[in-house]
Amino acid sequence: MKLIDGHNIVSRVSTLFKQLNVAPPSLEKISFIQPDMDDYEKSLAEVLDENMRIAASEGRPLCQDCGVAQLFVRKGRHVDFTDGYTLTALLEEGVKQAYGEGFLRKSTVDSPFERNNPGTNLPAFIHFEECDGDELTIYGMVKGGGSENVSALTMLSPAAGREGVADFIIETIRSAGGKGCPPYFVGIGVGATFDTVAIEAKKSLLTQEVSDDQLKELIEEKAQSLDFGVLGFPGKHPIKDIFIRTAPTHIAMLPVAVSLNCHSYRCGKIEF
Amino acid sequence: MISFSDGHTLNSLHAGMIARLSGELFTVRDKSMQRFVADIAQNGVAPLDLKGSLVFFAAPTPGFINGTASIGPTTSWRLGSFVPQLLELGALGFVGKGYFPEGVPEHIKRKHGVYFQALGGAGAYYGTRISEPEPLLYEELGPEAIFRIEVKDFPVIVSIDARGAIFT
Repeated sequence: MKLIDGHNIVSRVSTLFKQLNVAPPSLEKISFIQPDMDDYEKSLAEVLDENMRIAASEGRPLCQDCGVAQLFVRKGRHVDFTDGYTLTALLEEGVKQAYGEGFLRKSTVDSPFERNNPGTNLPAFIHFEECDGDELTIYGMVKGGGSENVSALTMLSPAAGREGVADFIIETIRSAGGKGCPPYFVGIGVGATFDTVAIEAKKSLLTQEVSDDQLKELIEEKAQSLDFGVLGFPGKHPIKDIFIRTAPTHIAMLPVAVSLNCHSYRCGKIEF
Repeated sequence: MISFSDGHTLNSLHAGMIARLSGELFTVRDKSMQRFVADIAQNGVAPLDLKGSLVFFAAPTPGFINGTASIGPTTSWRLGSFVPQLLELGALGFVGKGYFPEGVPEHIKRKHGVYFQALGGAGAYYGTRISEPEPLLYEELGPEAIFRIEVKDFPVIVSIDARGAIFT
C-alpha cells in the first residue's frame, strides 16, 4: 500500500489551480497568431498572446472568470491517505486554498435558483476512475461560464455516422459564434452513454488525444464554412485545436458531446 | 474624459473598427445594477451621476486589492434590460461583450449612444491597462461593487458608432 500524506495533496492541488489560472501547461507552447491572418484578425490574436504573457509574468489570472474547478482522478487500488480524510475532502481543501490565496474569482454558487455564493469556489466537480497499481494522477481543469454555456450534447442515430457527428459539431460551433471566446479548443466525446459522453469530451481536453483521425479531418473540412475568427469577429480562425475520444456504446445509440473551451484553455495534471 | 488613439474622436469612429480607448469607465454587473435601479425606485434619484460616462459591464478579480487584478467584459446580453434607463440618466455608452437583446441597439441609436466590445477573456491584458479600481457604490459586493477606473490604451471593437451604424 502506498500511503500519501493528505497535506501534500492539499498543497499540490492548491498550487495546480493557482498555476492553471495564470500559466497553465496546456497553453505553454500556444500562440494564437497564424501566418494567414489578415491584419484585423492578427491584431486581436496579438492581444490574446500578450494576455498569456502578462498572466504568466505578473501572476494575474488569464481571465477574470476563474471558472469552476474540475478534477479528474485516476486512483490505483494500492493507494491510501494519511489523516483519515476522504480524497474528495483533500481535493476540495486544495481548491479552496488556491482560490483564496490566489485572489481568484469564486464563481460557484450553492444552488441553481437561490444562487448564493459561499465564496470558496466549492464544491469542486470531481470524477474518479479506479485503476490497478499505486498510481494517483489528478487532472485539473478550470473552465468559465462562457464556453461551458455553448457546449452541447446530442443523441444521434447510429446511421448518422461520422458525417452526422461532424455536422453536429460544426453547427454547435456556428451557433456559439463569439459567445464562448474563440479560437476554440474543441473537446469531443463520441459513444458511451448520455451521461458519460460529456465526461469523454472533457477528458479529451485533458489528454489531448485524437482517437479518430477520420472524424477530425471531416470536421476540419466542414469548418471551412464557418464565417468568423478570433473572438467571433471577422476572420478565418474559429478553431485552435480538436481533440476526440471515442468509447463503446449501445447498438441503437450514437451519443455525441462537444465541450467547447475558450482561448483560455486551462488544464494540467499532477502525479504522485 | 474619454479619448481615442490615432487622433480619433467619438464621432470619427466607425462601426467595425478596432479603437484604443483611454479615460474613465464605471464598472457594473448584474447585482450592482439591480441595487442601482432599486435605489432609484426608492429615492427617486440616481445614487451616481452617469452623465456623459461610459459604463463597463465587468468586475475585477479579487486581486484588485494587491495589484494583480484581471478584468474583462462580461456578456452584455444580461445587462441589456438596464440600458434604456442608463441612457435616460445620460450615459454616453457601454463597453461589454457580444450582442444585446432585440430592441436595445435601437435605444442606443436613438440616444446617439455608442457600444464597444472589449475582447472576451483578455483579463490579464486589460488588468495592466487600468488604474486601481476606486469603489464608489455597494462596496459590500466585493468585485461586483461599482468601481471607477481609468483605462489606458484599451483595445475595443466599435459595435455601435455615434452615427448609429451597427457592426455585428
